[in-house]
Amino acid sequence: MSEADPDAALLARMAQGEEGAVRQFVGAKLPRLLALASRLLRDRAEAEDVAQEVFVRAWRQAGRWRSGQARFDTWLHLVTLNLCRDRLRRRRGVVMADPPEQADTAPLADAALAAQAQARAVAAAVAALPERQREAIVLVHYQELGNIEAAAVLGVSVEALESLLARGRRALRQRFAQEEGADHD
Amino acid sequence: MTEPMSRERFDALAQAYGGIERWPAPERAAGWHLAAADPACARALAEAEALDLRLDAWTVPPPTPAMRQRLVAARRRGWIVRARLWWSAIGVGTVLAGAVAGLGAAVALGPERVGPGLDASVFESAGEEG
Repeated sequence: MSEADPDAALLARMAQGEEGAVRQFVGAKLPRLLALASRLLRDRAEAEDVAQEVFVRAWRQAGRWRSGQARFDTWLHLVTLNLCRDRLRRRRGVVMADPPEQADTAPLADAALAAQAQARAVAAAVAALPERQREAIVLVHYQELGNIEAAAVLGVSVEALESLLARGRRALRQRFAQEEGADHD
Repeated sequence: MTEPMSRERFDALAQAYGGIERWPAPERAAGWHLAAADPACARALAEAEALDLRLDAWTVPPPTPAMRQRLVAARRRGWIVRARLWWSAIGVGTVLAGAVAGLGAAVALGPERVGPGLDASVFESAGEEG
């Protein structure tokens, strides 16, 4: 990749032991990586474990990162994705009817309840997609990775990424249409 | 001047990425032109944007301040461990080098030419951290 890595200066400051750079790095990356793990695993505690592990690896690599080959952010996404895949694989070995969801027991207004129900419906629909389509949609729609970065994380061409996205989005549209049809019956 | 975009390409991009602001940057201008000129493209775009909006309903809570602090603290601990290892390596190296040099110097040069070695206080200050 010829484009300069936007994280290069920050990584250099971290490698020199600058604590302000560490805080800035955590502030910038943690919300994104935790969101990625949360959406792939749908379990907050597990997602936090994964995010922590990613940062441990990031601390090890930051000083050795060679800018110009790939973006550090792309590498962080790849590590997060692989750790989530490992956990999902292990989870499949354990009998589990539904992925654990955190139930919020606080009383909510009608609008908030409706929003929560809608969010759960979207989460369930995305979770029901085939693995590669789900990953493509989470990386591109939710993480807002560029097509080249997302394709690099998934190890596919941009054309293959677009195909995964289109199939995933089509399946989601169909599912939502069916759900709306069922609600109106 | 924006290169014209085919209807097929417009559909493929809308189906893959959703709204035009989510498309790869080099294709956006041509997309806006076509959406404004072709009602069928405008409809396809509206469908894609409706799905984007639906997907956006799934939000996840941000990390807690405690988690941020844990990660920063873990990094600090990592530096301290590395500093300890680094100073320990210097210490071991110095002791070994000193022993070898001392033995050679005692035989060949006499005791007043033996080097002074490192200040021991750096080992103590490194050891006291954390």
